[in-house]
Amino acid sequence: MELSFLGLAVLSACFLTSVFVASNKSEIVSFGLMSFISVASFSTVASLLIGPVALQITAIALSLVIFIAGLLYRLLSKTWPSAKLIFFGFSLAAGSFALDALTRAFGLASSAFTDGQTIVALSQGFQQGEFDPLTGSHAMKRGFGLPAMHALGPNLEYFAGLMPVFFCAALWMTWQLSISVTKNRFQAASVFLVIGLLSLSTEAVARHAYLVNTHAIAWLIFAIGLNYLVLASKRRLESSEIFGLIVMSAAIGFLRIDYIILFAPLTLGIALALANYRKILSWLFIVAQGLSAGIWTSVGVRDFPIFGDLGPIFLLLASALVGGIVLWIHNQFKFRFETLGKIFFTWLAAGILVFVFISADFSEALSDLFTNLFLGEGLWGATIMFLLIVVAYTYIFTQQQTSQTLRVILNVFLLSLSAYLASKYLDGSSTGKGLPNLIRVGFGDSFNRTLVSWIPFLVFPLARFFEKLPLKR
Amino acid sequence: MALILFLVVLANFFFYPRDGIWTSSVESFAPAEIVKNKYWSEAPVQVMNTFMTNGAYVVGAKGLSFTDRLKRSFGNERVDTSQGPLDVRDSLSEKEIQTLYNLRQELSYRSDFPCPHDDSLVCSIGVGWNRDRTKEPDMRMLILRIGDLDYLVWDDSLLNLEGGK
Repeated sequence: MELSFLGLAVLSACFLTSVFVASNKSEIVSFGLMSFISVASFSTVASLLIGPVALQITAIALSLVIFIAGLLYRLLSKTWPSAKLIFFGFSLAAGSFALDALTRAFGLASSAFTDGQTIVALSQGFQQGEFDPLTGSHAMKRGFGLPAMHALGPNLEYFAGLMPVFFCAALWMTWQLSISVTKNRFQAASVFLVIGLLSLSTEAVARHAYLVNTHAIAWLIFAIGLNYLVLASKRRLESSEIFGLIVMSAAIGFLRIDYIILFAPLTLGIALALANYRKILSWLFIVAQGLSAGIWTSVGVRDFPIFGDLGPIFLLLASALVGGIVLWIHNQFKFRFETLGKIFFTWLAAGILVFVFISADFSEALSDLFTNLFLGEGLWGATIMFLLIVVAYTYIFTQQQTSQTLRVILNVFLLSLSAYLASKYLDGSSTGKGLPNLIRVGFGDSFNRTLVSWIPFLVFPLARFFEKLPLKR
Repeated sequence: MALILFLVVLANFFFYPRDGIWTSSVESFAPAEIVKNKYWSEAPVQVMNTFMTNGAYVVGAKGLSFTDRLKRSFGNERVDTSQGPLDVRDSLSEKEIQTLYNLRQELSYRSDFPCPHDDSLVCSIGVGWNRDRTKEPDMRMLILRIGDLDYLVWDDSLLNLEGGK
């Protein structure tokens, strides 16, 4: 059986490198996968500039470079990762091989979805050097990082076992977030049991095990980012954690341009947390997104919608400027990440949501949303109804005070949701075909599928719900 | 909480629509082959939700396992349940039937479902359409029986292909 050897080798190298730079298992998973996105993207950019043979050579070379760099880091620091972490890194690599083998043995693949077919077709174009850059906003929505990763598949095939790796990683990081947020392992297990069972039984979520789309990756990124945000609220982040954040930020820029918008509130929160003690790193964290976005759009997009051929440079400069503005606001107004918890941001997000729904085809959008979320056409089953009841119960009937961190998390969620819907609205409006159709019935609706991205936020109300559970004996 | 969660999981598995988590037994992981032969499967209702407008009509929907879902998506008045799938096996020539099979293989999204004529059997259905008519308002979708265990959903431009039959 032929496996996706190149992709698996590069992915394994990323996991093993992360063993050198990480200080715990969460960092190994997050750094490993986020660096894989960047390595694959850089390799694909090289192939578009030089020729298809550069794809494999650059991927292998970059993997070796980062592996050796990680090894040197450990040699120079004269500290070594524990046997447990080394074993974990090797297990991740072995697990990736196993998932690829399983996928190929049973012929498992995505349910039919045109975006997915476009993405794997793009990946084949990258492999063959027959890539025709997509134009404008269409290209930026299609993204780059995912087809770049799939281009590491064998013999003009896509990387068959890749999506389940991200799906499993998203579940794993959600478990880690549950541990960070709760007071003991029993509560964490209860939170994760709910999320895990619902994820596996809800087809709208479980489909992302193989759906060739970036939503499981977005789920993973939110889980990683929220974990760091919670940690930053309790203590100063370590160097390895900050480094991991910057690598994650670069991955966001490589994936999709509209992900810069989706993750903007999270980015802002983390940047403000970093600005408390390392301003240059806070700035670099934001610039990393603009840099990676500028790199791939310079070769992957024709007719950039803003400033044409100068568009990629615009992205880089804009990110540098935004980073500078964030630092200035942080200094001038003592704007800390806790400030994001203010009621003003809740109203801002709510206002954007109301505006978007009123401006779009309001009644049809709500009707279609109801059909998707509660009548089964979005494949959510009874899950959304159950979660709404649990969240409502948690906030209406429990007496705990909402901490500042929780308010920040809530506002990050609301702002991210409103930013996403606003970008969808603007995208729809730009077609000039009357009121944009925000939502349509069926699993294929992009908002319906994007909902999985926000799964990590469920950890917080569920943690609140289980807070009264006894300590594990 | 545990009991409610258990009931929710049960409802997700046995009460609400399930259209399949993935495609299995895929014949190729080469994108060109996947796109050309539509190897990735999808349930008919999901395909129609994605590619037809809310104004589409569906003809021949009586007795299908997903008729109620079609009505939810398109409205009762736009789903014809006065007749079942149109059986074209005897009214078309072998060559014409083969054309329909080719359309199903190359241009439709396929899945398995309980046969309308005998729900103890599993039939194969493909949903496709003339790509020039994608998202055309008021498009009429015909549900056809083209083989013993084979069904095809296609827009009514097929009637022009068949010389008006």
